[in-house]
Amino acid sequence: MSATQAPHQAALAALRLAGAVTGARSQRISVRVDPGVMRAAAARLGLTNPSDVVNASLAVAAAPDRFKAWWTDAEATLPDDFELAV
Amino acid sequence: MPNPNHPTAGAQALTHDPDRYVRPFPRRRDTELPFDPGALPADMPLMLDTTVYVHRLQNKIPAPIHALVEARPVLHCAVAVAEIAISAGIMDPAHATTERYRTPLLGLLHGIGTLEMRTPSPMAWAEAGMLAGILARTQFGLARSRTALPPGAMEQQRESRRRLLNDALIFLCAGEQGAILVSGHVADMDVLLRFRPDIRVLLYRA
Repeated sequence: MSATQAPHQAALAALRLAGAVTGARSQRISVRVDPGVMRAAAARLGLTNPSDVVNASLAVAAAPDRFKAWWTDAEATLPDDFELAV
Repeated sequence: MPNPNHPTAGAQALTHDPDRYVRPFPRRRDTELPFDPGALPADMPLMLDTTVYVHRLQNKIPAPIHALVEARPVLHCAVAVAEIAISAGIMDPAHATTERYRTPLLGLLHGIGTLEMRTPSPMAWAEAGMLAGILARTQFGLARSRTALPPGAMEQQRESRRRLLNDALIFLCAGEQGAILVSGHVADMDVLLRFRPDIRVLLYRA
């Protein structure tokens, strides 16, 4: 993954790996949103089309959090005598 | 004359005047330090000091800290990530224990998304350098001249200063990101908080 990749692109890639992406925007929803939050999300995601912003925001919210998964599942495998190199 | 519209590294470093600090701060009691997760603001993300990752891999994280990291957004300081990465890279591939030590470190690094990584700003680097220098001299006895040290001790002193610099960088990076720094470095954070009490820290003992 590139460090410059937009957040929703990384999220979509993770969701694709998890088998959650259908590839079709077939579900229609109607929602009211806070326009300030919508503007902030558009700016962070680098998107302008409201439909794209909502789709990208959903992807970011739904993507699995790799660090939380590591934090929860990591086994205590590092010996007590381990010391960092610096 | 310094131009206030073009701040300098010197001005940033002199956020903390080295001439003002000639004696060590007394260590504070735990009751005077931020050990209570319940006292934290509800809406701030966390940033983790390097030892938090290591303590997690050694199963030494206290339960309240473990639960807090599970519940809050977590940002990762690039300085801490570098400390983990150098520790993985430095191991001799031919050594018998390398796989046992390196595998968990790589598992950790794979768990950190680069989008959640943050770097200290240039201003933070200048401030961290001055802070680390003051602390090395006043707090930790790390300003001894080469002639006053036994052979080999100069390198050890430099290494300890580098550790202080990294601690200060991570501390300031958390402040810049509006994050709460979780740390098991109680003595270091006690003194760093003397200089920047505005930065939020949560301490624990492993």
